[in-house]
Amino acid sequence: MRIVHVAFLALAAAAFGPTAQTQSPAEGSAAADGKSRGPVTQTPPPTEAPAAFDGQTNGLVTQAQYDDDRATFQEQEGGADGLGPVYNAQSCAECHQSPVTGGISQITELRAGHFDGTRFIDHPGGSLINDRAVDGSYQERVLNGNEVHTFRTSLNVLGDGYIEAIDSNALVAIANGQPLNMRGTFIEVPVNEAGNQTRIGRFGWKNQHASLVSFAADAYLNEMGITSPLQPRDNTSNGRVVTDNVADPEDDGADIDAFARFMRATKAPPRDTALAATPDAVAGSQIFDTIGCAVCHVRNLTTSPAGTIINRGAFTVPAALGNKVIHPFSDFLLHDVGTGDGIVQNGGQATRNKLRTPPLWGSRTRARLMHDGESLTRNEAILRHAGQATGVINSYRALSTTQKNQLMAFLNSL
Amino acid sequence: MSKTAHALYAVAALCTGLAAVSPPAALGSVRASSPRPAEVRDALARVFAGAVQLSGRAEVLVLDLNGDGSADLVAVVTPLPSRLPELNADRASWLVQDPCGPVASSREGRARVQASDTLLAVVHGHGAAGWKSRDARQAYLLKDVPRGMTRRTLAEIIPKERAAASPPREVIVGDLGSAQGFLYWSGARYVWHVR
Repeated sequence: MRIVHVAFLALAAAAFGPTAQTQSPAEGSAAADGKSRGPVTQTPPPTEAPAAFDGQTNGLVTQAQYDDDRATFQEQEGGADGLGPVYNAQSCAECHQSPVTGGISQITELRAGHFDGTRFIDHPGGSLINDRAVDGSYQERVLNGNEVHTFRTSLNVLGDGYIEAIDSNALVAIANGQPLNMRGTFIEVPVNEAGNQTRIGRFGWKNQHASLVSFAADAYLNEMGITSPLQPRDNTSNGRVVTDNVADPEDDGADIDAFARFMRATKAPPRDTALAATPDAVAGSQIFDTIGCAVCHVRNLTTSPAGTIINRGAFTVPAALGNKVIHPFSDFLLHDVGTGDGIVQNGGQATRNKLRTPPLWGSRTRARLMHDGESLTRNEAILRHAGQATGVINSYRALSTTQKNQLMAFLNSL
Repeated sequence: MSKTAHALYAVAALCTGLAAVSPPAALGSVRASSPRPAEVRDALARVFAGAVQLSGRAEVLVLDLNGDGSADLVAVVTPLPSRLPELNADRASWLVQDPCGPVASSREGRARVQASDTLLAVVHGHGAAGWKSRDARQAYLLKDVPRGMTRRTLAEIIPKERAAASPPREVIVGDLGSAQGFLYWSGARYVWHVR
């Protein structure tokens, strides 16, 4: 995959100064983000996206449709459905569940490979090591010679429809506005439903997906072992071809569409408004900005206007998702904050030790923090940041205990 | 390393989520110049706000434990008894860890510095200046200090067939209690592995 974290092109340097990143030329093409349907009209002011852990639609679909799609998201797959041959879970909701369907869980996945001194090389069969199999002889393991391995926590998908609706150029602009030593990297990844044309990634720990349909098809295959028209071949067991005895594709695409529609129709994770209103949390919110956390954990983003064609022509932003203000506390860019897991997915070798800035919205529902869930307190998670976050974290260290406690009150309200 | 130890290492690595922090540069690029005592004292004072001092053992190592290509400082220290509350504070700027103990999630369960402790202070380097950088402040105080500490690359202590595939991180080999082992960075914390 092509990294768009781009070099200092002479043209960009001339136009934006020596530190600017540029977007892919293809991003400006006819089917790319930013093209609106119909005549140009004055866009009304953006409105707040609905946020709640209430299991209700955000207005994209009817509540009845939402309930049907949520049931599909929660449906337990079995052998007759094509589960496996290797897999991690039997339903989407097994990993994306708390406090409501689409939220988080304690479940982690395992990735592995090896480093040859220059490059990361996938484990045989791919870096994902599935933890379950439909036949004991199919069970995957980390084979000798694969010394790079990490756990990855399950991500919240609530509010992901708004993330999908963010114009790629907005992410580029965030990167270009960040100080050079903190600048994030954006990568272009295939949009499977658009013939694998590329768009700037924003989903997954490595930003490996840009569209929710592609993400759903990937997860259906890699987490449950269910093939679909977009991912038509079952996984191997450590590279060995094995079978679940169900003809591929096991899903005709209807489930993928339901998963994507469900995620798009979820409300954003809400703040704990009572805690957020306390003097400590209010003060902590200011500290969050002052010491620089918000450079990467970006507080406010606005989605593209309704009618904007995104995902390389495969999706048009609907009214329920368009022109909405969200507060994800992420820039959806890759950064090296010293915690990188050494795994390469879609971004090329330069992204080996980079991870997406995790959105902090809804993070109060997590007990296990950071990409591997290995940090059990917020203080520990903060102090684990280094690399591009060094300056910010040193500012945190310089805070008084009272200020640190105020910052924690703020974080606990997210 | 024996096959048994090799297997134990793999199990320990998996159990602890041995993270895979792979440096962008070869270990040869780590600036491992001999540290001067005054520089070490300055670094400890900067990072730990004067709450620890070099111990009589005066053992100091410079190596790349977290594999980021920047030189880290390891020194045997003792706490100033009058500063124990600060060293054990919930919001201290360093983390106190027990590499031999379980991971604690509660305030009550986490490792604490005692007045009689001898500790291993680790300061992760930052950039080309490594531990000497004024920005190098990511730090740990580790309970239990191995005897006969020696710097080794990970590749030197695992079987040859696996060495070529290993991230070029370094570890500290030594004796703790009656067992030989090594101290390594898991990506999230320091862990003592018995060989």
